[in-house]
Amino acid sequence: MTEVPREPLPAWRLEFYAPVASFRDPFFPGLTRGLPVPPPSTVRGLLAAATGAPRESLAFGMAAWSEGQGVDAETYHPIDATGLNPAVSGRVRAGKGGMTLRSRPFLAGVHLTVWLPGSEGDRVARALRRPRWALRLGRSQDLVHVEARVQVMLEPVEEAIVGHALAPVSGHDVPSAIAHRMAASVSTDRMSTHWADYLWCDLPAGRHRVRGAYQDAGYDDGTRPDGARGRALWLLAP
Amino acid sequence: MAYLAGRMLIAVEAGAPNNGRSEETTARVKHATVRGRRHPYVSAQAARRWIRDGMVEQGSVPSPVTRVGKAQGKAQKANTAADPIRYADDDLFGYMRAGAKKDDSATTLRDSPFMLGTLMSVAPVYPTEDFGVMSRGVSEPVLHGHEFYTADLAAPFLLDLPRIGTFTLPNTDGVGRPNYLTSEQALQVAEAAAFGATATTFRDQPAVRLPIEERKRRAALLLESLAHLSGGAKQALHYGDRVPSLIVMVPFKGGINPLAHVIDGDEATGLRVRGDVLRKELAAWEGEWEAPVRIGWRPGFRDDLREDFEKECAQELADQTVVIDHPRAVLRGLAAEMRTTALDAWFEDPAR
Repeated sequence: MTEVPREPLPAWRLEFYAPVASFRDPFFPGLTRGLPVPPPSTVRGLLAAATGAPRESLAFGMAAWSEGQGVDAETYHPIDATGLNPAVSGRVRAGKGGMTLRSRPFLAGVHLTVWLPGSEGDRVARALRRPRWALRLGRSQDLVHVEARVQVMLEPVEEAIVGHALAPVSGHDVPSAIAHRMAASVSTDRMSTHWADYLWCDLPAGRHRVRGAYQDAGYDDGTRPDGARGRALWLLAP
Repeated sequence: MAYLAGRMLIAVEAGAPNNGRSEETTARVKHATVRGRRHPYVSAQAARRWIRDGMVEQGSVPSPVTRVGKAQGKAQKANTAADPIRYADDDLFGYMRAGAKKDDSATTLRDSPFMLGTLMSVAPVYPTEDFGVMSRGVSEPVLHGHEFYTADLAAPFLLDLPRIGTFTLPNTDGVGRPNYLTSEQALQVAEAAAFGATATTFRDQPAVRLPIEERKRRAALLLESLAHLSGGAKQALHYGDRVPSLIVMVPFKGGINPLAHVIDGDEATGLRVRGDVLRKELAAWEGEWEAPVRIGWRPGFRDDLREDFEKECAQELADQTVVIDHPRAVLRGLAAEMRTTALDAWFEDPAR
């Protein structure tokens, strides 16, 4: 957690929309459990795809929620290293170590908001106008759409509406928040992963005391019946 | 230009083109639950399979396999495919080849340059459950129910044109793993050279690249396959045409797809095709795309929406910023253009 300088911070707010996306929880090997939000490392990958750099290590804020979900049945065609069960036109015979069916949970209508602060944020937000690699969120088939890209001012706050933003465990004391252990970042050779716990509310929690948080006063995620604007967000380090 | 962004719509009439796990004696169609309502879908994997099989039908050589064994008096062996240099389908659709753990051989993977999202129903639909009985010549009938539905399924797609026939090599710190060739396959680069491949740098990574004629041919094959799409489950019982009823394609300089809401739906009216959304998106992304926007619209498919759309975009249609034709004509026309030299610039990244 970076020490928050208590002064307003200019930032870009980017809103993404993925009709369908799926985020596997790596702590459940052998079965596919889905995470309810994209891990920060996934979002870092999305930003790196835009800039074309091997990695992006700026601090950013993020909030995510989804409209629905389902469980897909995926057919796997493993290509056997010994060559005994070869792939023909991408198909592999069924049998041990061959074609198999697996359940894959997915989210439908995923909304992701990312706040990119400071000059680094400027650079990445500019790159998102013309991403170098295809923008995807989750699996290679989960295309993501850039819905909005606006400049905002983040104000440090002590109290704010806690919505769908990811927070470090020290960020707030909302009782309904669930801590998810997710990848903060993955090294470029994919050999080491930095894990961290993040608090996330699947239902917005209303106004609470917050620590080390900023507020985007103009942001409304559409979850408050009174249309109250302004949501807490936390800058997440890699 | 580098990316062909698009959105396609497949109209399913009383069909069950993609089914999930069955429950007891009933085969269930795949569906997602969105805001508590059911939206049937065809998974991206299934639709990609249809396109891939279509490429083979059109004479693209699928990854073949040769096997030697007892008959030849040799140890059983077969050479696996996953050779994107030689086979267009492995190149376009990607694969992952996990190495054997015991000899610590590297995993190679090819990240697909053709990305297709889930074909999700634009409006909630309650699938019909059909009650089936097999009673011919048996004393106790066999029950077999199945679900089917009528819906408009839409999916976004994105084709990374410069990446077709381009294979990055991993550098020392492992950057560039997706889409890469292992050292053993790097040895095949010599073989690739026989196909005319050259060493180059692609998006700051060392890479091997096939000649542009071959790369253009592969992109054209893919579009031609889309133009006569067929496949899916239950074709005997629920035969249906799967050629997209509606398709929108725009070439972009970056890897984005702003067409999410051009074709969508709401619960009250079902399908919406919105010319105003298209106009606003094109204005917002001015300078990032190249005219014309190619729209394929099957004659007779939702004429009411088409009339509104053509009114809304009358100016764009008049100055050819937007062109509308039959989906097959649009797809095959674009493929034919790719085979000439007119669109060669699309196969290189734009200057940054």
